[in-house]
Order: sequence, then C-alpha cells, then structure tokens
Amino acid sequence: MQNTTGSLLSVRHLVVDYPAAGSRRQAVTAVRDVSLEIGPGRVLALVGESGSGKTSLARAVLRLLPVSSGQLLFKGQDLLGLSPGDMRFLRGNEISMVFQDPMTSLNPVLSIGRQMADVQHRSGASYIGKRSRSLMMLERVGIPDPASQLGRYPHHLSGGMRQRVAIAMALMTEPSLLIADEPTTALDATLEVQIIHRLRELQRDFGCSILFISHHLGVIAELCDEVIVMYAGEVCESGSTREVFLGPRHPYTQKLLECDPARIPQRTRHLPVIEGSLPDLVDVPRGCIFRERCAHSMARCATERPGLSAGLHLSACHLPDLAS
Amino acid sequence: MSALLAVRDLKVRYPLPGGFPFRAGGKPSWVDVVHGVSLDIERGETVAIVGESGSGKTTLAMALCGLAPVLGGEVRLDGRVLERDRNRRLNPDRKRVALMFQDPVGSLSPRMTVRRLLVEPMLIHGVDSRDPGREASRLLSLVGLGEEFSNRYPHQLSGGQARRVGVARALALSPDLLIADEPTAGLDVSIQGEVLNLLSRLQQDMGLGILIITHNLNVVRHVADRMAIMYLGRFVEQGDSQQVFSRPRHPYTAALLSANPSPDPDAQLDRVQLVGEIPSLLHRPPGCEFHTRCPRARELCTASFPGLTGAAGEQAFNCHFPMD
Repeated sequence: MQNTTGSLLSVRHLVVDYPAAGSRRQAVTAVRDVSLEIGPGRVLALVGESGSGKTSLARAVLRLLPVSSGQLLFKGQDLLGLSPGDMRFLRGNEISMVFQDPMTSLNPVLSIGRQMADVQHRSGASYIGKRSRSLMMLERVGIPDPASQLGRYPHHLSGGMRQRVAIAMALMTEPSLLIADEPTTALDATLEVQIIHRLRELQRDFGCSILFISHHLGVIAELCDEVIVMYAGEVCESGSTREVFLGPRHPYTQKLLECDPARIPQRTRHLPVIEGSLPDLVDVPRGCIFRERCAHSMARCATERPGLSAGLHLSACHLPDLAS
Repeated sequence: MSALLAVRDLKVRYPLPGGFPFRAGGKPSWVDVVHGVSLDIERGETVAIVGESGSGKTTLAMALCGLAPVLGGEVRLDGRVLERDRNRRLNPDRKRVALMFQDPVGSLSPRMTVRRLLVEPMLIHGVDSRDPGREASRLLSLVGLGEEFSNRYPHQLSGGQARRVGVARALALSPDLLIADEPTAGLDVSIQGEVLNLLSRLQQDMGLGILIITHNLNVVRHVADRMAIMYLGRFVEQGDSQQVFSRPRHPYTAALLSANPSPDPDAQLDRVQLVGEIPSLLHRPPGCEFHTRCPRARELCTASFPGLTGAAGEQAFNCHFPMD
C-alpha cells in the first residue's frame, strides 16, 4: 500500500457482515478485506455495481454499521476504539455524510432553517449566529434567496435544491472528510454539473477530503483524483482516475468502462452488458470473485484468490502475472 | 395514415393548495405545469423527452395516461381522441397506453407476489384470460425472468429485476405505446444496458411506440430516434436526435448537451454556462421563458415569445437568436 503517514483516513482490511435473518442462518459479508487511503484534500471515488458494498463501506467508516474486523484510522486515531460518545462527537464535526436520497435524509416536519440550526448544536453560537451561518452556507451552495428558504419545508424544494441543502448542512461544520453517497443520481445533467462544481469549489476552500460514491463514470472523471473499483465487496482495482480510466487493468473495470454508453461514439441499438450476476455473498466462492463473469478466467482463478498488485495503480487479477 | 400518438397543444394545470392567504397579492391559484405541448409518435419509434427536474416531463406522461388534470388540447391514439366519457370513465383505448413508473420498487405493491402483480391489470380491465398463471409466466419469460420469480414479493427483487417486472406489468395488456418514466434512474451501467436492450428488443418484436423520459443524455443518444427538450412545461426544441446532438439550435439545448459529463478524464470541456435558477412556474418570465438564464438574450427576448422555427417533423425550435 501507499505510505500511510500522510493520510487522513486509512481503512485496513475492513470486513462488514450483515447478521443473518430468517431461515438463512448465515451472515452476508458485504465488505471483505478492503483497504484504502484518503490523503488530505483528495477526492476519492468508489465505483461499482449496486450491491458491491460501496454504501456499506461508507456507513462502516462512520460506524453506522458494526465492523466485524479490520482497522479504521482517522488522523491517526483508531475509530473502532472510540466510545460511542466520542464517535458521536466526530460524526458531523469531523466526518460528515451526504446521503443518497435527499428526499428522505431531510426531516419532513421541520423547516430548513430549524434543521440547519440543529446541525450547529455543538457550536454554542446564538440563534442569530446560527441563522447567519445557515444563510451563508445556503448562499455558498448556490441557493437563490436563502433568507426566504429558511422558513420552508423540504417538500417545498425541488430535488436539486434539497440535495444542495443537504450538502450545505454537511459542510456547515467544516469537516475534514465529506462522504457523499451518490449525491447526483436524482439530478439532471445541468444540475449535476453545478453540484460537482460546487463540491470542487467547497473542497478547495475548506480543504476537506471527499469520499465520493457513484456509478456515474462521467462525474467521477470530472471530479475525482483517485478511483477505487469495487466488485462484490472487494477492491478489484485502484489508482489515479486518469490511469484507471485510460488504462484499466482488471477485466471487471474494462467491462464496466465498455458498458458506459457515453464511451460508445457510434449510435447503437444494442448496448453491451456484463453477462451473469453477482456471486452469492452468503457462500462466497473460492478463488477470484469475478471468475464466473470473466472472459479471461483460467484454472488458477478457481483456486487462488488474486491479491492486489503492488504500486500505485493496483489490480487484483492473475492476468498481469501471466503476461510478465 | 395518422400517427400512433398525436398530442396537440396539451395543457395541464394543477390547482394550488392553500386557501385565501395564498391567493392574496394577485398570485394565481393554479400552476401551469405543461403549457402547450405537441408531439407525434409513430409505431416502432422511440421518442425521448429530456429536461430539468420540474420541467413537467413526468406530468406530461401522466396526462397521456389520464392521470393528470388536462386543461386543454387533445391526445389522439390512431386518430381517435382519448378522453373521459360522460361518467368520467376512461376510454377503453387507454389500455393501449402503458406507463412504467419512475420508482421500480415503489410502484409495485409490497403485499402482492409478482404473479398477482402481473395478473392484476388483466383483472382490472376485464381482459379474459383463461389461464392467468400461464399468462404471468409468459410475461416473465418475455422480460427474461425465470418461473421462480412468480412467487416472490417486490422486496425480494433487486433494482434491475424490479424494473423488469415493471416492464412485464406494462406489457400485460399488450399496449401499442409504452411510456417509460426514467427507466434507468439509479441503475448502474451494466443493468441500464440490460433494461434498454430489453425495451428495444420488445419494440422490434411487438412494434411498440416508446416514449422515454430521462435526463440521461447518453441513453437518449443511443436509443432515441427523435428527442424533445422541455423547459418550464414547453418544448423548446424537438427533432431527430442525431441532428439535435450534432447541431443544437436552442441555447438551452446547447447548454444541456454540453453539461453532459464525459468519462474521459482528459476531455476538453467547452461548456455553455447558464446563469441563475429555473424560474418558478408561478411567475413565468414574459417573452421567451428562457431569457432569464440565456447567454444570448437580448431586448427582443424579454418582450415577445419566439414562434416555432422549422417545419413539423424536422428539427424545430423556439428562439429569436438560434445557435448556428
């Protein structure tokens, strides 16, 4: 792995299990042995199919999900060793999150102003102070006429406005790490670009790092410095956005990029897909996790799980060994 | 021969909630969400509607299915007007228009099995089917789902599977026109490709006309024969999708197309910048409705509404100073 001294968050060998429910008495392992590093001021993308464990990983970092094993270091501090009280202090202050669905992450029965003031509970500022800070933040994320918005309720706002309010709230405390879980999926192209630009600007001004979860490859190419590709709960490739997008090494990444309709210049009626489906995460198969859907799979893939290669552009595949 | 679906000057007006105080101060007590839309769809043709959230795309789809209050204009299917009869019952022709809703899981009743969900439309419309179970299996195999799905409940389906059930349900009454509202929102690229391939295969087999509502421009470029760009409840431009992509004439179209994020990290972006926010539907700007955000706006634009340039069936747009 990279040197860890300078990183803001380092996740090492993280495993997240969902306890078994119902008749199936076995746990589902949503995240298996994932390691990643985010440096200060960096924007890291997590990309992968739905069900690949992106959101579980993000939630585990905030300890909103129980971690089965592994290590979470934030500014050198072990997050798993913190008491629930200390952890609560860290959430929102140091690490904040923008959730997937702006519709449900805001409280429908409280006004925007009230919710934004509540987020500043710990600041100890006066009501007037909180209000003026809310106004300032709403202006920063590009909401027109912020003063009149404070008295409104989430259902008065459009999807794009709600998402911007959620971003304003997450950045209110000037966190060192912002986790954004698919913040642009519900938005159309022009708003998407606006939000990306806002995030970029805010990231520059506040100097925070961003863990950006998305399956929109275009957005990632534009916003992120580094990218981690996840498949079925494991990291299959990681590196700088340029390296991964221009020279993908893992067959899954190659497939994923091929499937993006934006990369197909000629108009086609039949879009490429990745055949097959995700493996059973209750009873994880031996060997390479992508084997069954891979065009290059060989005998070794069935028995031996490929480790991540060394260097800055990592990939978990046996193929490059064969070539070299 | 007349078009499969012909829409002429369709208007949808929603009443505003709130009583007296809301109406004081000269505000209207209604909002025009769709403000005069004309559109033709032929058999076997795919037409896409793109536009920002809040531009009235979904309301238009609902109005075509008789689910929104139509103020004026007419909708003809094969030359026959679709409207409610004296007892407010829908014209029997309505069942030839099927709608796929935006939220794949939310639009399926959580308390019904997939089999019941598929049979329900037939029962409601009194379509005689001697063997509903067999009909359900036929629909499932049509969308590429196995027999084992018929006893599952919606929460046991993944996003892509729920989409497929949505497609099967829309096809239950063998419609001539399928309206798909955001058929790929929230799906990753591979599953998105699967759903779109399924739609175009069904279109080939059954000669369906398809109206796709989306904000994913990459999807539009590949699947749509024609496209229409909606802004504040009106079409600002429509035409052959390849023509519109290569040579947008309306400044809003140009801005929308240039905002599409590219998955190439080295892409040189030459974006048309829009200023300001989408105006409220309650205060439609005078003259050209886009002049408040348009980079090319001049005095004439604030004073008079630009008429339609271009003949029907060709690329047509409403702008005083079109792009070259």
